[in-house]
Amino acid sequence: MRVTLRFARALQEIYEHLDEEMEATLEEGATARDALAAANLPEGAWGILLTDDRLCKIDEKVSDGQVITVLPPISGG
Amino acid sequence: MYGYAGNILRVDLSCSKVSHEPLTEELVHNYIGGRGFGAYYVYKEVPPGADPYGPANKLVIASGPFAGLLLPSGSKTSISAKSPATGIYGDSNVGGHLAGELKYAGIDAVIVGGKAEAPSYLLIDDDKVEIRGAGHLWGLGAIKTEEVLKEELGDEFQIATIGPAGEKGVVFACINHDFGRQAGRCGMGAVMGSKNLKAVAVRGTRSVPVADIDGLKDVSAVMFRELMANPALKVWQDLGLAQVTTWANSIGALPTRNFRQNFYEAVNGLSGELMKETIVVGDKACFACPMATGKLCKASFRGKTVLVEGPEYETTALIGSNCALGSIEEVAFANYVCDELGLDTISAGNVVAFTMECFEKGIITKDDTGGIEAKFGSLDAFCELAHKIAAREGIGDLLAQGVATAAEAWGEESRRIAIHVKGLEWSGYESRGAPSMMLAYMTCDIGAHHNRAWSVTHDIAVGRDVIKGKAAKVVEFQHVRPLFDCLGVCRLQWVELGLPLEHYARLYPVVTGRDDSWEDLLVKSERIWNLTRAFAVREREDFGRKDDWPPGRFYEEPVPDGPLAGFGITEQDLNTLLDEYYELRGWDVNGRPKEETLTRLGLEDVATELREMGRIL
Amino acid sequence: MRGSRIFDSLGRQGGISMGMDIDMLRCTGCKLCQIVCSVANFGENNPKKSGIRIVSRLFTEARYDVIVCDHCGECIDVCPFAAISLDSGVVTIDPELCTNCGICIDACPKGALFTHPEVGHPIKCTLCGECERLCPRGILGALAASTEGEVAD
Repeated sequence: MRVTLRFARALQEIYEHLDEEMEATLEEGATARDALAAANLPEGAWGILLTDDRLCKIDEKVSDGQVITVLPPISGG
Repeated sequence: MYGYAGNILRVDLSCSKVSHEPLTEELVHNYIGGRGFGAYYVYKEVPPGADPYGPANKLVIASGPFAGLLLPSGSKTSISAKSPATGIYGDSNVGGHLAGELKYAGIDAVIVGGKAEAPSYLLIDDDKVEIRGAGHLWGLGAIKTEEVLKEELGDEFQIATIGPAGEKGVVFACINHDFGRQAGRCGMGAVMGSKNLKAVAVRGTRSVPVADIDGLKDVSAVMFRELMANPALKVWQDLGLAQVTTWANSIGALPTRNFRQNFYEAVNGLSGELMKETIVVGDKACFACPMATGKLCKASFRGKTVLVEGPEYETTALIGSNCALGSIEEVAFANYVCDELGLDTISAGNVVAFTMECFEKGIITKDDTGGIEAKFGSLDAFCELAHKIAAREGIGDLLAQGVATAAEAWGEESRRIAIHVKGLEWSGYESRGAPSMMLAYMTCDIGAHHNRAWSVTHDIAVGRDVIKGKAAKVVEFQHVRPLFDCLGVCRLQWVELGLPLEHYARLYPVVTGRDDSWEDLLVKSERIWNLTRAFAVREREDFGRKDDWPPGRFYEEPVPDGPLAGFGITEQDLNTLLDEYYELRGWDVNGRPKEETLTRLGLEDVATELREMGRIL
Repeated sequence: MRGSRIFDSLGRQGGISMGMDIDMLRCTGCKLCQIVCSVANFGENNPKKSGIRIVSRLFTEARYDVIVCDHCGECIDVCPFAAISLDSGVVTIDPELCTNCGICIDACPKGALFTHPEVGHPIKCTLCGECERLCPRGILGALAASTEGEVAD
């Protein structure tokens, strides 16, 4: 299955290999964490994930065609 | 002068004298506003060796050119003085609505010197400035004082107050404003209290002139449009800064049990989501801010129900996980206790956690605590200690002087677990696994605070064990982030929601009519950074590298558990970080600004003064 | 006029207090409405020169009040100088006729007419719509939407 990841600009500035939008091909039963690993992001690099205007948990199973917006972690106020 | 009200208000409480003086072109050009004004006046007017509690100390309450205007969150007031916590320059900023109100009243900064004979408050109502009696307010809580003054004067007054802790000179007493916003750090509330100044109330009706009102509308419209379209905005509106807690825990940065750990096994009880579900009753914003990160909460404990703004992340980290409390409602209740007493929640959390660990280790006993069972996880103990600190009773009198002083009294074993730099307690990011963040805490000009440079994401991106090359990011942040405190604008819309810095660079000329580029502004910020460092060097003959050193715990104990279990940082690493940092800054190996550096930044007078004192070569 | 469709409906309604009360609970007290009002109507940054006020009820009720004219028209008849009129659904003060006597201010059931030392007449909402478009919570927008069905054309 394929999911679409959308990366916030601040993340693209830190991780130059990221595009604004990237597709990840995953096995059935894969989680949001697997999707981020496929995009080559280290643990802790992301903050909150949104999908369909709601929070997406990192260990949540994702489905084919799902779009996940990846926000950067906080920046210490 | 575009972007400014054009006046400084001087208040001498010793002889009840107030006077206005015009803002000078030189001051505005070199120091911008806010923290820059604070650094300038505190360096210039507080003589070396001055008692922070004495009449010679000056409290500078300063707005900035972006404050009070139609742009995202021009809400920041900087409050500066010689800090009783550190003995060097200190400042703290507060959001809310004070910064704009000062300008509407025709002033950019208030400089308070001297000491009033009796408890007083300062009333600024446009051109009318009065020092009024505050006998009826003395002893009241910080929030209660604001409520009483609002009833007396009217809701249009913006008010800053202190609680009992400020009156009693607790070194981490804060200044409260707008119900639940604080200038928390560096004991600015204690400086206010030492001057017998219980509150400052401001109301103004004037317009703030800007150079190009249409230009302001255009840039501002772009900024607001980008903010509103950002998917993260809703998350911030929903959860505020509380969303940080679980993230900090997941990357091994959440201070836990007096920074022994950086991972809290019971973090779910403190999460932003749980907070929203269980205790939040409303959202609250600072001036002109769409994020509204302030969360109004109701919390109950032992039959008492309180309304409080918060807890935000720092409070949750330092009072929650660091004292091992069990639920966000408990943290909110402790937050209320601190706010009303007028205690900085960051330092209070540190002081109590330090006490709890010393109690656990047997360094102190119930004989020392006055019978308090000072165990991790006890909200009762937290509240009892907080009240004793604010009243300076028993153990509270020692703890009121901060962890560094308490550790001097309790001996060597406690010294290495007293978590501070320069006497200021560490804020909410445990940094054994984040070397650049560690360096940021070590070199922050006011002590162990995160707001000058926050670089944990840099450590994650570049490698958490990488040491070399990390200092550059810290220096970069130490210039750009405090620039926001000079401009009188909140930085969250940039750092958290990603508004590009170019927008702020475009705002500067349309507001002020000045042609400085963003790079020019960063040089001014670097000048201010060196000036606050110079204050410390002038103040203490032996000031230097040892004052940029973290507590022993961080390089003697590896992380015990959590995602970074086994991780550590060595003394050699710390020295490498400092060597690189001093080199980049143009400071000598002992961390003192070189004459050529001060001269490059237009601080020739400072260079001459320090050279003549023999403080720099 | 920008925003006229929305605000025509307010004039017809003759009262919007229900909608306001509900949405006021979501006000965060940022006062963007006040500052944008002064910029839009006076070309100045000054929330005191504004036809809307946010009043803190934090200490007792953990909320804010939004005070703004609902164009009910009660001030029109009390004006001794016939300076206030209903102009396309907008209650409007004519600065030429107004003597700043303050009678309308006392008569306003909402307390939504404001004075300023530099302005020779009470300041009130002109229904320019700027605050509604900027409000981060869409409170003033929600208010408009709730009465949209009332618009005849």
